[in-house]
Amino acid sequence: MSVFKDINEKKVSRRSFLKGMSLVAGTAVAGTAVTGCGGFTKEGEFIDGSLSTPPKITGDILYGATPHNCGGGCLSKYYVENGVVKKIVTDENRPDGDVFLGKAQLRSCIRCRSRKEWWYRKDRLTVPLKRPEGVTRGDIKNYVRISWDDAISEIVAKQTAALEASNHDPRTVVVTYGLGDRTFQTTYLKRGVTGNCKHGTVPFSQDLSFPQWMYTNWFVDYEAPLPSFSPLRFQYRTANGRKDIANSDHLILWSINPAETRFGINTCQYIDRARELNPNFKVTVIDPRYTLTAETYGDDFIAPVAGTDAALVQAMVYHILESAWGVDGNTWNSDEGTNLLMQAWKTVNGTTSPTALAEVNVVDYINKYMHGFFDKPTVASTDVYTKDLGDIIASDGKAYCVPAGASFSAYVFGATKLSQNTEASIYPETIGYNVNNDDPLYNKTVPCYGQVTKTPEWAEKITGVKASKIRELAEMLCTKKVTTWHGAGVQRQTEGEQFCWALPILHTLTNQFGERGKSYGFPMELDANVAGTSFSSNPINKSYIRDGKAESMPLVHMESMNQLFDYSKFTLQDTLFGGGGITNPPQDGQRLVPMLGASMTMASLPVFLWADAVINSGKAKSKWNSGKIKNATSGNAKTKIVYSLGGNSVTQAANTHYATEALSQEDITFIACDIFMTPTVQLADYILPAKAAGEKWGVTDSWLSSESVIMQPVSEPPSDEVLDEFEIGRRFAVAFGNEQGYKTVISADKSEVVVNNEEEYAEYIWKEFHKSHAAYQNAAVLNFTFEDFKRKGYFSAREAYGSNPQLAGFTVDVIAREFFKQDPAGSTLAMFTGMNGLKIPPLMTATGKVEAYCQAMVEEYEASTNNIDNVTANSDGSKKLLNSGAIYTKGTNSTDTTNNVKRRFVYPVPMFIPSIEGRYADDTHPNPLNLGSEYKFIAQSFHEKSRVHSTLNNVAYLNELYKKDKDGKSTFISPDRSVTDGVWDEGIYEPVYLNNKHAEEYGLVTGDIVQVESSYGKLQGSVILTNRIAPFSVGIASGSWNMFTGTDNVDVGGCVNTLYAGRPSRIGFGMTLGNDVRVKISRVRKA
Amino acid sequence: MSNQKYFYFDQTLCFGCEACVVACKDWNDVKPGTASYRRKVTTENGDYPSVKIHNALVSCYHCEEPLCIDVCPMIAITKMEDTGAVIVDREKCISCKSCKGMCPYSAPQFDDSVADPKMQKCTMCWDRLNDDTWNIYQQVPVCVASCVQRAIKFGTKEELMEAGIDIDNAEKSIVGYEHDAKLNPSVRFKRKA
Repeated sequence: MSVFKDINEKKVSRRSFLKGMSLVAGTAVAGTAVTGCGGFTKEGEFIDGSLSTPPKITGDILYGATPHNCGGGCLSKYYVENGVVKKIVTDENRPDGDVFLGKAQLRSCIRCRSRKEWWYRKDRLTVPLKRPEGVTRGDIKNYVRISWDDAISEIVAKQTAALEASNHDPRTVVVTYGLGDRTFQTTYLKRGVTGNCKHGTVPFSQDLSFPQWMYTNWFVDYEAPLPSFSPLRFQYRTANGRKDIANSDHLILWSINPAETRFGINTCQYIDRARELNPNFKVTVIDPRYTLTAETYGDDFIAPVAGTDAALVQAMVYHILESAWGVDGNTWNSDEGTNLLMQAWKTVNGTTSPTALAEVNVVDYINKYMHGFFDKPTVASTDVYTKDLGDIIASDGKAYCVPAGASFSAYVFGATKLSQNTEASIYPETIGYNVNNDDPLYNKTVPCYGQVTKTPEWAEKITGVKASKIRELAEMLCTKKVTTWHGAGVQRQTEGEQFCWALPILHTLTNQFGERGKSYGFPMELDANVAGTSFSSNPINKSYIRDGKAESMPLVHMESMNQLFDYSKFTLQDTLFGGGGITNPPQDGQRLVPMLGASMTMASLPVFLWADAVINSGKAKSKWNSGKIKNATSGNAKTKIVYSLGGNSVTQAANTHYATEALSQEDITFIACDIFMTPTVQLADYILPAKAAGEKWGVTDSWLSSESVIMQPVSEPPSDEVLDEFEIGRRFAVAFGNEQGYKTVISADKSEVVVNNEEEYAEYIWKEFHKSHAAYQNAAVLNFTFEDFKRKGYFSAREAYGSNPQLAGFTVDVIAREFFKQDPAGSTLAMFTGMNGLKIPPLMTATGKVEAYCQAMVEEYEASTNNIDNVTANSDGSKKLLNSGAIYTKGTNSTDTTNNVKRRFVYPVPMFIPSIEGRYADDTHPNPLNLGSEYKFIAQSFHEKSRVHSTLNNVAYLNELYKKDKDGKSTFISPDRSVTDGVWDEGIYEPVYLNNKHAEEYGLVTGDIVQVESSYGKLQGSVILTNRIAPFSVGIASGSWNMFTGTDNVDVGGCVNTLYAGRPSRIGFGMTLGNDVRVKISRVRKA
Repeated sequence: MSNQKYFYFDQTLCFGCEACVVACKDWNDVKPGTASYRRKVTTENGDYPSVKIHNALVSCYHCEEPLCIDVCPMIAITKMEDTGAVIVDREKCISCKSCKGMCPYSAPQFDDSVADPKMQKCTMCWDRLNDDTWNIYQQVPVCVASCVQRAIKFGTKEELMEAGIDIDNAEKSIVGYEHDAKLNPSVRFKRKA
């Protein structure tokens, strides 16, 4: 029975009914209306019931995207009228197909859908501003308007004078890290503003987000980029193409949260699809926070205490080894049913051994793929796959050996000698800190457990994960096909390298690599070569201007960069720098571009330490005793000019106070180009208003998945004085007198291309990839033009490959480390012998193997920083390694018997070292800083959907889902406020998540305002009590804009980076803004 | 055959990203503030780390027996015959909030601003349902098209049956949303345990 019949009969007198919306749609133009309870004019106009027709959807439609430094890069569809976006929807004009075929809609999240509340805010920067002399930085009400011409001419004059005074020392000019704009026009702008920097600027490695992953990757398991035979290259530690999880029995999501932090478009849909295809597919989520991913996808949730994951890995490795060699480490277990290593290596490259594997078989496999898992006191040239290292070893068998008791397995077994090793662990029980002597950590030690056997019971006390669960995880890795996707949070602490180093070892040991269904790494399909990325393959990064002329070499002042390092400290010297330079072709047996990534890292300063470099420039010192920073700050050169181009360096910095100090020095000229008055911009001498994403051209991609999206102007900028960065840079170039050089870029075929404006630049990027990359040559095969790109908004490599038979053989479903698995020496695979006659191993580490023992990484450290610990001692007072041990590097070699036996700050195997201000499950965490017992919480930061890093912090649609007022009610920062109202408004708080367990002790209810205080800063936020955060953790999403108030500089904006020390990680001096700080809390206002 | 359109919400897929909430505000030009046609209700149970989360999206689900229509003194609310959408004529609304008092789901929304005090609510995106100009695929409400998890489906019983969803036998209540039998809202669920 029709529901309408019933309603009509009973309630018609109180209700209005309209019928036939199809009729409405079909006849509205003719003015015909519909029936209702009211009446109609004779013309058919409805007058007394209700609305007769829905609002008409109007506007022109444009496609594009507005991601920032987001792992998405999803599609938006804009309804535009007169340059104003009226509605934003997503990819919805086509069927939503199979994600495995690249046919799923590229649906955007709340961030891209909220842009109307971003573009049209009244506090946009609309004109260039200048801080007049005598006005304090940050006193923005007294900043004055300045014309573009005057601003640029004043900046250029100051920069020119500074450079002439320093004889063009690259340290004169700093361009801070900034990826807030994904059109990558800011990259181009850098060309413009540095147009007179003959020797470049201070070079930073752009690895703020994944520093410990990337740093360890370069040395431990870096896979060769092989552009000639694959559309794919790897610049990160990547897992197999996402679709491959369907070939796995099990997916481990380790510190990755795709439900909240996009990592590729539709990554969650890949998990959904794998589940559909394989009902037995299981997911384990490992994270200290009960994330939305854990809730939605975790069949199992494992919650180690934040910062203790490395102990979990150590214990898993121990359990596997114990199953093979017993508790005594000496008795081979020949029972295939219980020996996990025999199970793990039973099937390799699709071939199953018909018989149980013998000990020698298993050990051979491990040694085939790993260097230094077991001791190897004397190494033969045939033990390594790189000819150049083999040649060195041939004359010195200890040049790259694994000394007795120094291997990774020796460390894992501690004081118990494993039969495969020559000696029990030589590693001390404790480790010191390589810090300045006025650092509170000077002469302090913490355990590094060198003599402890890393049993699951040991790890349980540290991690809080039951020993039985640790064993279960280890057994799963040895018996199932497993993909492990990892994210970034796990490495963001002072000992972050240890886990990032141990994880590849765990997966190599368990044969979980190089095959379908078996991989570990980031969930990526295409690397940074996708059009529009900011990384090395971006054509703009390959073409530089020097003395006004385009060049294809990086604009790096080789002389100053050589000062950063002592290249003689490397056993295997980098061909790029130490072996004759890039122009010398590699010889047979050498790596194509040996240790390319390592070179990139070594040739630059850790970007995490930019404030250290600025504050200490000319002082030959580093707050954190970084040798690179000390080398870079030596000499007379002083940083005089600092640019922030589309970045928010204060909010995103190591410590907001320290970054503010760096940018507040009166002897620097600070220039910021942005769209809002952020905590960084407010400190600038010159503020240059830029167009926002959506107001300009660009080409970008999701984080290394298989889609590119176009960014095109869909909205008018708020003023004629708001310019795109290409144009801003061009104006600088004109002032420098080299406009033509600025506009000229180098094409893949070495020819010069002139781009005259931002749109031509976007088209150039697109076309370059047609020329230079197989993936995009295929796009050309598909006849997919730039015009198509503009019209459609996206290009999906997966979709293109999946549907076009011409492209057979190309796939985005790459198998990471596949060639390494098949032929680690690269001796038989054609692709490793066919390139200019070269033979190169597929893994570009020093040995060509996964380096469980990584001498190269220690040598990289020693090339700039002393590694001998002459400060701290063992419990017996000695300052030596144990068990008569010695460790060799080029700088402290086997003949240096005085030093090679000493304690070090950095060892060649991954350890478990407690983070400085962390916690253990059993509350026995060391306290090297002697913090009071009131500092009982860890401040834990993470990404929420409310922002992309610090971008979008002021978007009302997003604010009201997260921000709270003084009473704990939803609120937002008014879209109608003025730019002179400052960075933020008081009374709008960031959420502070706290476990319910602590509510009573602190008298807290949700909505109370609390103060969170570390040794380094204080902030206030609105408490949300929840059991999704671990007890003894205070959760604060990263990226809220800091706003210091009062005499004690309390940050009422709630920027979590106000709380962190800013202390870099131990080895690579990388970013540590995750969980490595203890805080205390107190209630400051009751809701 | 009924013209009533139903929403079908798979609670097991929803991780509470609120894309639908923002998409709805954007499409319908609802200003930041107290009015929101869709709201996420999150229910949290259990102690860390054994926590369980249930998300429900509460909105006007266009009751088959909408009481708001009965109580509106201005006869401003209408149930459409072709879709079952319950539509308010905001021109007529006098902001008496009678409808809000009657609705157990707080579907009628009021922005507590002087500028826009009148009732507003989910329209089932009737503009989208009837728009054939821009070729919105399958012409569904913006929340449905926005859902990154594909957790929301929409259509008549027959249309949903074609998609494998049996409305007559689907769950009516989930954690976070209780079915009101008298009103009979046009929403059904896949329940999350």
